[in-house]
Amino acid sequence: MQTVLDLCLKHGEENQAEKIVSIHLKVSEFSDLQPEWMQRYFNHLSKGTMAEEAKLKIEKMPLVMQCNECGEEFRIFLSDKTPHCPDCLSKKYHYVSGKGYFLENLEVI
Amino acid sequence: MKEIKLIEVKEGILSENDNKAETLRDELKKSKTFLLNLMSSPGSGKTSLILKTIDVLKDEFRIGVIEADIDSMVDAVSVTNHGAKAVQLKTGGFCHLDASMVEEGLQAINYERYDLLIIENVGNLVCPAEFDTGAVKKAMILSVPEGDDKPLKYPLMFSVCDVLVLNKVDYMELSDFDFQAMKNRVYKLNPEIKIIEVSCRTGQGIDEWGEWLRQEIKSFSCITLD
Repeated sequence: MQTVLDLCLKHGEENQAEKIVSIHLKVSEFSDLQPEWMQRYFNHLSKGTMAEEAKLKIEKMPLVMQCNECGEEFRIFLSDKTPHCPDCLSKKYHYVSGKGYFLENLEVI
Repeated sequence: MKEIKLIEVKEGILSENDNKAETLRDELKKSKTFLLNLMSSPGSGKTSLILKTIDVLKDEFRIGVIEADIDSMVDAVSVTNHGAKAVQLKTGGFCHLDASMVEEGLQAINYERYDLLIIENVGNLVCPAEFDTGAVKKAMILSVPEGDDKPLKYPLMFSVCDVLVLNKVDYMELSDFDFQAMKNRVYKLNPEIKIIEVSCRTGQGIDEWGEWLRQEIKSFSCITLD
């Protein structure tokens, strides 16, 4: 969360913001970090900075795979028992996107 | 009331670490040093597997170990007593290693002198999965006593690794570990992962693990620099 804060402060300063009001983050739905705790850590770390009291808007990113057989891109869920390509039913696929953390945008005054 | 302005950023939170890791990987390519990031829960057998790996591969490769623990030297001492060079990084409370900590370890051990360096990451299935350390391959250990449900609880770790070593398979008959269920859960998250069953205690499967690592090191050292 310190990295999130540092990145927000950097962009806030570059844009001569007085205060950061909200922070839009994209987080993999496979991440173990819970939004409630991310907000709590952030509140603690951001005390005394322009990002104090900023609200984290956390959007979960879906995990997207691509079928090795037919090239179809599809989403998989943690609850899927036997994931497969919805198009050709192949079980051979590889990772496309949906991992990691991204800072999308900031609302500032 | 002042107007609210939107600043578009679209930047990866860990991009600084990712860039650093890429730089390390380039350096390692030049010196043909294969860096393996070994991750698992505490007590699943990272140090035991490293000691077995040293036994199997020490005549073919120059091996070193970068140990990471919150605050102790015990693992580095075990490895050193086993005849390989080790450096210990104390993470001082951090639950994982990032690329800049690994860079310190690489410099401390003089990485150019080695064919194989193994990072023994902090025992934890959560945070180490998030951070690229600059390693060429990522390996994780799951041990039978931990249970077959771990891929459900820590999906990210299972989804980022190239190889899963299932350790303590000699305990299998004493436990209700469901090997097929575990495999299904892992392949769902990561269809390309290699699963190797071992017991560091009895030595079962260690040859297969050694062979996997040997082939990976060989194909890595054949890569020509672009």
